[in-house]
Amino acid sequence: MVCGYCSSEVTATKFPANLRDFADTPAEPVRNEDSPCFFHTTNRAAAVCDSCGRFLCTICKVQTGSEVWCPDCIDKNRNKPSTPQFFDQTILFDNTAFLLAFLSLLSGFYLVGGLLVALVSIGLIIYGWSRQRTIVKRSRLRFIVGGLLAAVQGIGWVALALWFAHSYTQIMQQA
Amino acid sequence: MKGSYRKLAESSMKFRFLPGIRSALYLGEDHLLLSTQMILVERYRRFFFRDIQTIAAAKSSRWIWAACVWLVPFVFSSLWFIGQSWGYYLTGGVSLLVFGALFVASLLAGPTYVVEIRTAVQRQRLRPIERARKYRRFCRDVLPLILQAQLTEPSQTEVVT
Repeated sequence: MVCGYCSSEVTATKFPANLRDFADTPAEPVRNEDSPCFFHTTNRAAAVCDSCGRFLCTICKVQTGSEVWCPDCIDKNRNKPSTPQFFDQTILFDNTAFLLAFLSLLSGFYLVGGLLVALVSIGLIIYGWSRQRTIVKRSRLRFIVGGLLAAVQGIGWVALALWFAHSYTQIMQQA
Repeated sequence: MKGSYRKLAESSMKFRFLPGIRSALYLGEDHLLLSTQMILVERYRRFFFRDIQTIAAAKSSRWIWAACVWLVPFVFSSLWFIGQSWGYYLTGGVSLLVFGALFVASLLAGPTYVVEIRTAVQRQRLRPIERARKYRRFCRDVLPLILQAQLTEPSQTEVVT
């Protein structure tokens, strides 16, 4: 088919889920012998949370793979290493350290605070080495490159500072 | 968990060197994972096979403009040959070679699409598979898995062209 707005050729693959009405499993009201949902006491429980064991209605149950979770447990486990299925973002310490070292060189801030930047970068690399929790494979190359850059930067800055100090002393002595 | 994902596609070469706009698409056991790197943070979006309603792809002319990005410096590289010394010739030759190779690689990567995935609660562009070859590979490998997860016969799926 052709898009009515931009006239480009469009191919759309519709799956059966497209036809599914998401309101087709409304929460049933609780009857005499039924267990109610923990969060909606007027709704009949349809599942049990695999983490805390609370009864859940169809509104509250959240299915990830073969497990059922309640909204409370998802919120509590969002950033725990044991439940990577709930990770929605992670801090990239390797990129932070590398960019910090690289941008300080690029911006010229290196001349003023090169040693500080190098120390912060190395600190980030040490801190993030075991704490960076990406859920997909990521090589440690950026950590190594960032660390080397920061180390060279730090040593260079100290050498530069010593050279300045030495030159300054010589000039003062000559004067 | 790390071992359970297989990389399907990654954003193109020129975006890979810019840390702000890298993205990659992974295949999990029962879902697709779109990872987007925003400089210092990596964000993840999951699309469970059972929830995917539509995957739409619209042909775009972006690939021509993407090739022109390399064509312009390629043409300007020839200006180095105005200077009549070996240094200029060498610089001109190297830049012609680099930008020429990037231009050809961009053309060889093929036409571009704008690909969108839709579920009941979200609509997201799948930038990593927006080149024709990657999109075709994605369709070949992943669409049957989505169908299988939705427990229906392939004939029940409607492909609108």
